[in-house]
Amino acid sequence: MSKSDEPGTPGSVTPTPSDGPGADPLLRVEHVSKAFPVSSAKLFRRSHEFVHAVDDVSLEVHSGETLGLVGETGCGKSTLARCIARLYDLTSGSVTFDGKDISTLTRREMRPLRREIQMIFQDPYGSLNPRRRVGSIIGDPFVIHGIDSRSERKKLVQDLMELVGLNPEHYNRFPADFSGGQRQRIGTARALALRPRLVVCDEPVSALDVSVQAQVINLLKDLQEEFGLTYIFISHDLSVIRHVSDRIAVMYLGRIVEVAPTAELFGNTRHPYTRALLSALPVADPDEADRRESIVLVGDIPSPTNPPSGCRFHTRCPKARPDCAVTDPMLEPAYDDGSDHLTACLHPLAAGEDMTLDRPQIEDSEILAAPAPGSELAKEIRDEPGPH
Amino acid sequence: MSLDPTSLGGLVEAEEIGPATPEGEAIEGRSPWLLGWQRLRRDRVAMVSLVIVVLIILMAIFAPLATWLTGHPPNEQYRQIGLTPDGQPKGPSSEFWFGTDDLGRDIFVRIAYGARVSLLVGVVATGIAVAIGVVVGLAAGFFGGLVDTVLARLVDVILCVPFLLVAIALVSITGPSLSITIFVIGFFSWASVARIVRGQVLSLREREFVEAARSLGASDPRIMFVDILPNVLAPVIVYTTLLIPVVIVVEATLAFLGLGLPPPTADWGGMLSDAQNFYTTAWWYLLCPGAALLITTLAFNLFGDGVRDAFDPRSDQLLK
Amino acid sequence: MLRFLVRRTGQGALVLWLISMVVFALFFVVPNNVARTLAGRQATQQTVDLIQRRLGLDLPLWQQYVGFVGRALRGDLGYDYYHQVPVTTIIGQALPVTLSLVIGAAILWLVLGIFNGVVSAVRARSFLDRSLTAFALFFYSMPSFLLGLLLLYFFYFQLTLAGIRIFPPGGYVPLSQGVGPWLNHLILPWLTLALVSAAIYTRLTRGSMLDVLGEDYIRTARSKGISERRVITRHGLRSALTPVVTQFGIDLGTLIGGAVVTETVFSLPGIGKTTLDALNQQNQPVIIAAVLLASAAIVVANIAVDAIYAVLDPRVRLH
Repeated sequence: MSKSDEPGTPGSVTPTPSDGPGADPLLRVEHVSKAFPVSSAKLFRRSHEFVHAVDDVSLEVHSGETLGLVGETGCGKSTLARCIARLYDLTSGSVTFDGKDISTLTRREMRPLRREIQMIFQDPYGSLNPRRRVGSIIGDPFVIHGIDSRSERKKLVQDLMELVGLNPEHYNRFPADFSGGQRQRIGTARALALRPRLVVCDEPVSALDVSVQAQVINLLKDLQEEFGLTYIFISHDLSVIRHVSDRIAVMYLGRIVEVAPTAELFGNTRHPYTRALLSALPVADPDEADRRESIVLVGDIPSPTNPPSGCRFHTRCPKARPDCAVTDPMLEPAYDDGSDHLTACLHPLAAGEDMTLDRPQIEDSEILAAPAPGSELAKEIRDEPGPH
Repeated sequence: MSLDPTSLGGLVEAEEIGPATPEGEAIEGRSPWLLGWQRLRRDRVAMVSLVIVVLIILMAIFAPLATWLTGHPPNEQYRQIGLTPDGQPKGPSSEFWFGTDDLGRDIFVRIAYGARVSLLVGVVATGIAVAIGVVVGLAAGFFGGLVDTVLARLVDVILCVPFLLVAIALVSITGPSLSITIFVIGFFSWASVARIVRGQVLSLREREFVEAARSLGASDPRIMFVDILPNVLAPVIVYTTLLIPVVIVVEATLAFLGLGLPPPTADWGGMLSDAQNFYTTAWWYLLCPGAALLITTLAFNLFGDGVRDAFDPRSDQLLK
Repeated sequence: MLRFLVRRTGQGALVLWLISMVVFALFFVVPNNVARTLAGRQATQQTVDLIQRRLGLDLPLWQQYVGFVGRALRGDLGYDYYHQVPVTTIIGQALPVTLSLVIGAAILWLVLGIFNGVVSAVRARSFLDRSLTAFALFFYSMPSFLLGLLLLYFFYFQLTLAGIRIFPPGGYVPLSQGVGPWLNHLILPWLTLALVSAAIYTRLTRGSMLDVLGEDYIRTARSKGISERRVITRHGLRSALTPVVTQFGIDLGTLIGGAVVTETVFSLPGIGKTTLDALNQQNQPVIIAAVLLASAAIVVANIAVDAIYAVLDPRVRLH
């Protein structure tokens, strides 16, 4: 088999056309759960407490698209990403990539698939080995997967560096010599070395300055176009997600609460949580900012070891009704939405509904436990920086 | 056997934060090693002690030179010219530069030859201890689970053993010899190295670049040697440099207690042991080997401190 | 907490048991001629065999070991081969000597070390700091036997020559015979043990203190207007001392068996010296008991240190 036939070498790349809605998805995640045991200092007993980081998540990702995955810190998106990339074993459920079930593959069996599924990590400072040269870091995939000759590797690496906007002459430098944005480029180059088909980006720009974020995002988009990549893009920042994603999935406490194409999600929000997230997005026009509803979520995200009963969001939901504490909603189209817009809510928002007028109607709502909106304490809480 | 626990600072974290270098700078990156070496070069005290260490090494290697210079082999007893009429050691003179010992032997020459023993044991025993300790620490830290439990327990047990007593016991059973001394010291030292390495590996294992390597499909051995080991190497090297003087002292102590090399081999600890009975009449018998031992350990310690400061910039931050 | 202690004690017991097995095996693997030595050179083979049987040395090894453990658990550690003195008595006589030496030196080095370390850290990079650090380095590099010999040379020999007889050349005087003589005989050994350890503790405290003084909460305390002295003693020292306390516990435990050298130089009949003498005579029961005692001391010290750490740092408890 000559080298030019192998995927992953430059010159052999042809952009893969996006498959339409009828074609098989590139990645199918079905009822995936991942639980971590919480270690407790008991003598011989195994711990009975688990952190349900990901709980019964189902997703599809089509070739060539960007699926945005958004949620607060601790909602399980990073865990889900690692389950997809098979860096973790699944507690239950299945992950199917390109028609092949990869859920229970051993590490050895996964190895060839690693060329197709890659990750870009969040921390530009931690994701690169400080004691290795950049050329060696980027060249790692080639070494691991058997492209032997050193000169050949060097050429490939330098091409990659150029591709992501780095000076190929810096081949021998160390990560410490680069800025955060440049390091993410290095990480990107490493991920793209073998021309993967799916790239999972775990908050790739969250650790960067805002001005640099735009550069890296644009780079990712350009690369997607050039190589026909499929992205799963994870972030807690909705404005970034909006910019890059074709479809968006919103996660809360280990569950997907809403999935929709971007425009649909913003224009026709169904889930109260999504609506609250959207309302926190900064809006440029001050008049519009004043005019629009601002929904402040009360309280903190509940502990993943002991999620609320029924719908997990009911303790913080302004629209909570008694049945919300009992029944766990299924992820399905709300009202007359198409099959591409799924919501997990028993009382989804109707078009144009104003959620600020709602008051929860159940006992264990944190909203009711919170101080009244007009009180001094509420004002203090509201003015405090950070999520509410 | 363990060192001053502050010997190791955040060495693994050291080289992370760095400014972006502007375009047009040198093409070759400056590796953390190079940076450390440059820092070391600027440390005058460390450089001076390095020179002393090198001199001592040279003295050990060229010990026969001492014989050639003075005309006295190390084990030759000069009962006529070397002892006073009533059989006591003679003081420093032009004939015997550092005086003689109770058997009329030339102390200067014996000190030169004694350096061989100290350095040989120091380097070899340390080398063995570090080699074993690194392998064990890597394995325990990296593989975790049963391997880790067994190895960590083993290390714990070894560290609970009263070293000197058992070392004495061992040597007294098997008889004193060079290899036994090296073995005993090496055997008890690897445990502390392993413990430190294991700790470093445990924290390194959770770093994102290890995760990244996994996501690329790297095999376990590859991750261990290519990703983890280089980051563990820096603290290990510092520890090694500081371990050598400790080993030298332990060897001298064993020799002092009568468990070093069998006579008549020249050995600093052995000489000091003999000197116990004569220091009232022969101060040079105590002070000359004593000074040699002290200077050697001092030099190694100073150099080791310099190495640690050079490769662990954190300790300097506060002092600016 | 209780569970933690129980677990650690169990582990400690296991360790001790393992050590006892190894030591036992060690000594009896080598053919020993204790019986012959006791019998004397002229004795007949019959006499030697008789002595062997009386000492239980003709039994298979594992039987000897089991017998030993059985008796030990009842408090009987056997009898010294040569004078039929119970080992417990021998150890019992040696222990107070070692304890006097170790505890006295420990107090000395702790005070010296911590004080110097704190001063060094607070006045970092000053002349005082540099000299203290140099001193620390000097004594840290000094083998303890050498220091002992030098102290003897200068403070015993030279002083005596000059007519000032303060310090004896060695030996031990029990407290019961007067505080003065007891102290007198112990000062030089204390200094020998303490100066080297003080150096280690100075470095340790200095390093730890520097780390702590750089923390943000210290800055906060200062900016609140608290006097520098209070900042150091109340806020800084508390966290800085944790690693020192840890090390201290372990050192204390280790020294029970590890003060051999000082005891030898100053002829103090402590555990270490007794063991050394026993070794030269191949007096196994004494050796085994001493090694076990020393190991037990280390194990107990480790447990105590871990327990204290668990008290000081709640994170450890939950692990």
